[in-house]
Amino acid sequence: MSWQSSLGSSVARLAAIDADAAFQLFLQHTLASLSVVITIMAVGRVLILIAAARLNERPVRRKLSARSYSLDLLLPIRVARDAQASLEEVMPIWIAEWGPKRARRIWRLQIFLIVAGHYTSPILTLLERVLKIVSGRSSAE
Amino acid sequence: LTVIGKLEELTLLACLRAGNDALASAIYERVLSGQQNAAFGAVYTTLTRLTKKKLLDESAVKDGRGRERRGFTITGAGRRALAEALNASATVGGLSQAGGADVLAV
Repeated sequence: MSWQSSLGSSVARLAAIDADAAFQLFLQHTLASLSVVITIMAVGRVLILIAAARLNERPVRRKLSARSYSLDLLLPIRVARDAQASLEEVMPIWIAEWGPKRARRIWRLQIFLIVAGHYTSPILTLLERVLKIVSGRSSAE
Repeated sequence: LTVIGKLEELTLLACLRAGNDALASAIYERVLSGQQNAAFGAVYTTLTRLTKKKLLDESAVKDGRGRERRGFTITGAGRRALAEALNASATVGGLSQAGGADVLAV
């Protein structure tokens, strides 16, 4: 059947039905379309809610040895880089022995010790020299 | 004569065992095998202090990930100081002369 004959038959059918029937047909089609759209939107919303719930339930994975900016700020860059890398290498020992939570606390304490040690080291050296002089030994030794 | 402390002695010994251009983490692991409660921060500071005392030599080395690291090698002065410290311990606290390990029993 060609498209001309199909169109012709549709026009003939439309001409045969009255206005009320046409309105009812229009209403039915509109309601059916609306119900399909509402169903699709509802299903979409449910899917979005499920995805959001899964995202919220996913445990937050923090890196166990994140970069320490206090090392970068307070130490010379060469020392800071080496200390950071060394801490990353040593961290698995603490995790194996104490677990991730305590290992992280130890990691923070070690950062403090390294920074404090870096700044107190010259004072200790000076004290050692003073003690050597006081005790009568040569400071050149 | 350079008098060194116990942690310095352990760190020097660990550095000697770890070989040339040893990284701080490798030295710390060796120190841990001898002293379980050694803090990494204390060992790291000790390494810096020993370098300033010229008992350790510091050089830049690349690690496995291509990062520039501080490599530590014991110097001649470091070996002498370590030998002095170990000899002093052996002379003063020679356990065999003092009656073996029984004297340490509490």
